[in-house]
Amino acid sequence: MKWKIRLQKDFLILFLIAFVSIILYLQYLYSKKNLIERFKSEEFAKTIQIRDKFKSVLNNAELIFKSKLDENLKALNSLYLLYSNMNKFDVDKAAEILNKEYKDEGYYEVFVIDRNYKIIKASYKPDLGLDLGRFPKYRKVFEAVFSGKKKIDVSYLIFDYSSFTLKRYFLILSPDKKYLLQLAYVVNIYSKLRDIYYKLLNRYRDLNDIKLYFMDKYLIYPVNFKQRFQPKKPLEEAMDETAAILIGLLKDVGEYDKYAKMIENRRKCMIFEHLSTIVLQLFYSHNNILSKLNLNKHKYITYTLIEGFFKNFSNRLIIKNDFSTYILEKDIETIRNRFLIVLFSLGILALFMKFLVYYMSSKIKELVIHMKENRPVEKTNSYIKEFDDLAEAYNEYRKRLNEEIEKNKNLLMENRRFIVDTVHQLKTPLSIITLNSDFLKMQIKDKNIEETLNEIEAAIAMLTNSYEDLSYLAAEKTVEYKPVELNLSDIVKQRVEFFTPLAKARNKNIVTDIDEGIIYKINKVEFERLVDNNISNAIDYSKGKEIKVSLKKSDNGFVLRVESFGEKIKEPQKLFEKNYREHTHKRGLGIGLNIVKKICDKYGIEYKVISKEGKNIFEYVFKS
Amino acid sequence: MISVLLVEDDLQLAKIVKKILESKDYKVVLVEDGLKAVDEIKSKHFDLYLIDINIPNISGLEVVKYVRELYSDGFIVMITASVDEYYFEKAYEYGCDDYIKKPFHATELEVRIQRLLEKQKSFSFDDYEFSFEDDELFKNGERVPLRKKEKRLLHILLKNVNRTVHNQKIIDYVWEGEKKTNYPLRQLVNELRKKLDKDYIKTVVGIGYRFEVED
Repeated sequence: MKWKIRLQKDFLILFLIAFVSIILYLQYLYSKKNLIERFKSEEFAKTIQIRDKFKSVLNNAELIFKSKLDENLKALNSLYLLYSNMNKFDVDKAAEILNKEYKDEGYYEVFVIDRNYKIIKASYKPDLGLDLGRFPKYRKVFEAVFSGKKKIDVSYLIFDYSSFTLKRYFLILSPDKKYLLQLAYVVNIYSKLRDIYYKLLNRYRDLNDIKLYFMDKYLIYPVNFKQRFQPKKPLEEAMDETAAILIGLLKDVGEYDKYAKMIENRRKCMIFEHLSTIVLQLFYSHNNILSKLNLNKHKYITYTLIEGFFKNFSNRLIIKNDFSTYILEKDIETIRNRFLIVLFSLGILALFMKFLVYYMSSKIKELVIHMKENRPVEKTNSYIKEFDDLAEAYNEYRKRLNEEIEKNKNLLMENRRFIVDTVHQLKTPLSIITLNSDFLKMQIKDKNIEETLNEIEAAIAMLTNSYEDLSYLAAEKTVEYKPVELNLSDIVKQRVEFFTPLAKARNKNIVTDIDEGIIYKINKVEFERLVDNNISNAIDYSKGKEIKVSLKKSDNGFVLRVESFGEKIKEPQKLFEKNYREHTHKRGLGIGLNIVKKICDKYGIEYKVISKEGKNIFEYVFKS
Repeated sequence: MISVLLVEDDLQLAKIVKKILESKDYKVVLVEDGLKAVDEIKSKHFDLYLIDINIPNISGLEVVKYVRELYSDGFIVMITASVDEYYFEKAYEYGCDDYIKKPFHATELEVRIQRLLEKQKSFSFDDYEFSFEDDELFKNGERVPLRKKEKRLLHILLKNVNRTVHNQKIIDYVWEGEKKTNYPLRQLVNELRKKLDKDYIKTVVGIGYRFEVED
């Protein structure tokens, strides 16, 4: 039972620690999740801010065109006049003059287009020699201006992603009606975007990089802020690049698996036909912001989309923000460390508790061992005052107890010595009385006196029995009663003979039924005590006349039985206890049957009391 | 008439024991202490010695030892208290024959003495019976023919059964004071051994012989 309790206690503590640990761990997970959510929402806000910044550049550009329209027309007029005034029209000179005159956010480029719709002069050299007649849309416009149907043509805003410039073209027939004069008002968005790009990188310290991609219906073009003008790539290469960017995007936001099959089959050009559909669908289903946290790569990547700027819904700008997660990770590490420290402290605390309990229990154990061995505890400093007090109290108590025990021992010894002395003192007078009474009986044949002598002899038998009991007890501790082989039949007969005068005096008659030649290894004094006490009890307490003493052989030994008629014995099992008396009105030593019990226990003799039908039977089974 | 030496320091007890024994026709000499007992024993041999184990001057045990040093016959009965068990073990070792425990009845004393005196007349072992009165040995009632010296040897050994008897003591008894330069004791013992079923006689080298019978 004890070990079970201890086990349960340990188990309980373990369970408690586990429970607290789990709570702490959940708390840690919750804090971590909160941190991440907060981080994400912060970066989300930044992402939106970044998008707005870039969008504002685009909006601003559009606004410039709106506000400068009048001035642009004035510039066109100036170009017209310049053409008239110049002997030999120089486009570079004309552009220089116009740009000087109308200095603002944008600048002007000047082109001369002939009747074949070919650019024959251009201040913007890459366009020189370009055959615009290939584009039927343009031809229609050119024709209208040449024919004078339309005096001035103002084009839509045209975005040139390769130079990242926004342009508006103005057309007017030259004064000599030979050519078309084309004025382009150009606003450079690239530099503005680049300014914003660096500003943002500066402002947001955890921003690793921003990447812009321009996307039209079929292709994606990366914006390079390091180098403005890129050599024009062949279509095949541009397609590869587009595919790479798309794959990168899908992987960044964890959506690659969904489209993997489609992309692997890109040779069929499926991807390019559906490019905008795929990308837009992706953005629309995510509220226009795509994001993915990858703590392993220490990155949080977000994508936003700006679309439909410059009045053209197929103009799309994808912004990729690459945030560093180091701060988040640092915060997570901090709370994780805090969690581990608390857990560790808890472990230390538990160990300390365990140690404390162990220490205390070992102190108690030590004390208990001392108690068991009845030794005083040495003066020690156990760091726990109560223990020292307890040890001291124990020492004091032990000392007093031992003194008491010693005193009692002495008292007991005195008592025993008194009994021994008494026994010794009684021995000789008892012998003298016995022998003198015997002698008298031999000498005197008078009937009256003989009766008196019988009474004396009966009293002597009683006295002798008590004397022998006392003598046995007195010698018990000092004498070893050695067993020898005895003829019990003879001894029982002799004891009956010894008690016969007493029985007669008490008006009782002892009948015997004794099998001859029963031999048993037992001490004579002890066997006599057993028999004597049973016979003398029967004489003392029986109510009937007849007392039967029998010694009979049985299957595996023999049985001694003393039977008499008397009151029912109330508690047969208690009879053999020391100082127990059934008949409280009769005084006796109350040791006789206790001596019998001791002897029975010593030799393994079974004893039993049967009290029924007015008969009391004391039965002793000797096994051979 | 059987002579008894009673050694008892308690005068009252001594008086009544003496009275009882005398009423049964024993001749009783009473002494109260060990010293006087030794004097008596020196001057005279008794048939029975009744010695209290606890007497002044010389202890009962010493007196037993003294008796046995002088005489191999004569019975010794100790008077003892039940607690003195240790002593009468010693007493048996020194050669006492029986003991009687205080307090005792007159009949008990008589029975014990009577039994010893009966014992004096013959000794039985296994199938044999040896009569001390005519030194005849019977096996299952049939007489075993023995020479005179063999009879005397058997007599002294059986008187001291289970006790070692000194060579000189045997010689004194068997040859009845006959003066010889050489006594053929060893030869005699061997002849007697041949006439018995078992090897009862044990040689105690350099000291004497012992007749061993299991109790």
